[in-house]
Amino acid sequence: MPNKKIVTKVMVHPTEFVNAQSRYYNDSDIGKRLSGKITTDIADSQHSSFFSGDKEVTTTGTVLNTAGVSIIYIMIKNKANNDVFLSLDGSNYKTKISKNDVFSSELNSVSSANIKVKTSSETSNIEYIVAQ
Amino acid sequence: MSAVARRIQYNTQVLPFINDVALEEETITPSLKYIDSDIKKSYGCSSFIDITANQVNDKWSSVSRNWEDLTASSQYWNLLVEAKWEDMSEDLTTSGEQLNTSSTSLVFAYFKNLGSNTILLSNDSGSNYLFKLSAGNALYFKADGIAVNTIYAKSASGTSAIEYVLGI
Repeated sequence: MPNKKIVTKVMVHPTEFVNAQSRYYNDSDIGKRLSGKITTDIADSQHSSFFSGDKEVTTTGTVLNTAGVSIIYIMIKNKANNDVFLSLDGSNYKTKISKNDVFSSELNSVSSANIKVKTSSETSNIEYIVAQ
Repeated sequence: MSAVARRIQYNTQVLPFINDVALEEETITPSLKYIDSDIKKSYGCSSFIDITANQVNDKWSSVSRNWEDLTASSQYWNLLVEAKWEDMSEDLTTSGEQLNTSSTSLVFAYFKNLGSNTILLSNDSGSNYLFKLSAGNALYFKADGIAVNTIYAKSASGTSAIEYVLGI
C-alpha cells in the first residue's frame, strides 16, 4: 500500500443576491453548498521535480514535472498577482488559476511533458505538486 | 436561471501526508497522519467569483436533492413537478455526454462524482478525457477560452452519476 497520500477537500457555495436583504443567499436554482473529499494514493518514489514551493512562471509554457511519466494528481497554488494558465495537452491553456487560488485535481494518466503553465503577461510564482 | 446577481464562493484544502512512519527497527501505522516529509506543508484557498446573473439555460446546473431538503414551503417541490427526480443529477455511461449545448464562454465549472465508478471529464468536446473524478470526489476550475458546450463527461466503466455547475 502506498505511503504517500494526498487528501483534498473542496467546497463550492453558489449564491444569489437578494435585494430585499441586500446580501447573498443560497442560489435559488441550486439551493445548497456543494462539496467533495478524496484521498489520492500517489507513488512513494517521485521525481525530484514532482513538487516545488517556489517556481517562477513566465509567458513561455514550462513543463513542471520533467520526469517523463504519467501523472495522476496535480495541485497548483498561484502565489503572485498575475493569472497562471494551465495546459494538460501541451498546447491549449484552458484552466485559469487566479492570485491565491489553488487548483487541485486527479488526472487521467496525463503525460508529464504535456502539463505546462504560463502567464499571459509578465511573471507569476507558484507552488505545485505534479505526482505520478 | 435568472437572478439579480450571482456569486460562487469556493475553497480548497490539500493535505499531503504519509501513512506509515518508519522507526529504526519497525514500521508503525499511526492513527494520526504525518505531513509528507518532502513537501512539508499543506495548501489551501478561499475566495469567490462573480458569474453572470442570467445563466444560459436550465442545464447550467444539475445537482442532487435530498428528501430532507424538501419541506411544504420549499421551492424544490416546484422542481419535482417541473422535472423528473432523476433529472436532478446526470446519469453517465461510457459514451461521452455533452453536459450543456450552449456555445457561450465558460467561466466557472464544478463537478462531483455521485456514483461508485470513476468519471472522466473532457474540456475539448470529448477528444481527450484528461480530468478524473473518483467516487465522492469533487473538482472545480476557472475556465479560459472555452465554451460551455466543450465540456463532456463519461463513466470509465459501467454507469455513474455526476453533479455539476457550468457558470458563464
